[in-house]
Amino acid sequence: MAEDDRQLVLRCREMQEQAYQDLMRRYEGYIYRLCHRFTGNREDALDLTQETFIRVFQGLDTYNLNRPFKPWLRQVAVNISVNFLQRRSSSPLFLDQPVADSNITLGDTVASREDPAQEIEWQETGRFLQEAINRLPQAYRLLIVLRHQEGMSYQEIAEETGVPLGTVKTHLFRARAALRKGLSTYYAWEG
Amino acid sequence: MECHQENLQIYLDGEMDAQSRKTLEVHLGRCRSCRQEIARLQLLWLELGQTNEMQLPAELPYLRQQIINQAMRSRQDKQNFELGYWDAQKLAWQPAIRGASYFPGVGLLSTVSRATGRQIPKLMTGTMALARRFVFPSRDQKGGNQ
Repeated sequence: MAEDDRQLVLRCREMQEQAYQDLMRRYEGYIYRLCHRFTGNREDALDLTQETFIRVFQGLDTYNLNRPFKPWLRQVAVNISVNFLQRRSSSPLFLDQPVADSNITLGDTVASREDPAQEIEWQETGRFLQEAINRLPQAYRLLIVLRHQEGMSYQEIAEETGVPLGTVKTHLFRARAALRKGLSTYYAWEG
Repeated sequence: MECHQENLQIYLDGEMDAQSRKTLEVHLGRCRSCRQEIARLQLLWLELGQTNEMQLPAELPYLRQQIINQAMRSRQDKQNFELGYWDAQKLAWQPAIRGASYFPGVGLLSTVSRATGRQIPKLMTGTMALARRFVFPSRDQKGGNQ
């Protein structure tokens, strides 16, 4: 039976290199994919993965062993990613003020509603949506990932990102409304 | 309940309280437009919940080893830097004990005690023992032959 996370952390505290190896092998893929979903970029995802594990290993002595390891690891990754995205953004990442829907576009992958005869490049829905998500503002993308791929509740997202609950909801609604609008045009849904 | 996309989103997220959920479900039974809309949102939810396993970069194992080396080095440095408790005590008390030893006559206390037959208070014998051990090591301790 594989060692549980708690045992691995204890062995890491005793400076057993194999424990570090096992812990990282267990979660490096998960963290890399998570960071890649946040940033949409391979190099940034690698940097954030490195920073996450460095921070985690530095915090091993104060980590509460009674707390599940994976959510703590994810929280470190989210904090680092939010700080990273904030540093790169010229304006606050999560705005409390309403964002005009016209600012959220899905780019040229979607046919114009005004010209239904225009040909579009048909692709599988998943791929279409992934491209659409990549075009969302980064704050929206981060929330979409936390809600739909990490399965977090509104409250959990608010706590983990430090964003007010109302802002989390508003941003999620707007992001999904934009994605839904894209799907509507793509699939030529009436109404 | 009015037709409101946000309500449908909250419902699909499972974040609606029981009463509101019931009200919405009654509304869905009466409103074709909302039923149509929730079906479309469900498709979106289904797709958003898919996690395609993206390929991991080839340099990840190398990165792993770098991180581990750095973490273990930091930990070792931290351990080396931390003094043992008694080492810290030695350092902390040295100035005070050395200072006390400069008081006139301190060195003669044992001689006086033997001459008068009176015992030196324990606090003073303790201090003198510490001074001999840490501040003024004897010739024997220094490795002298005598």
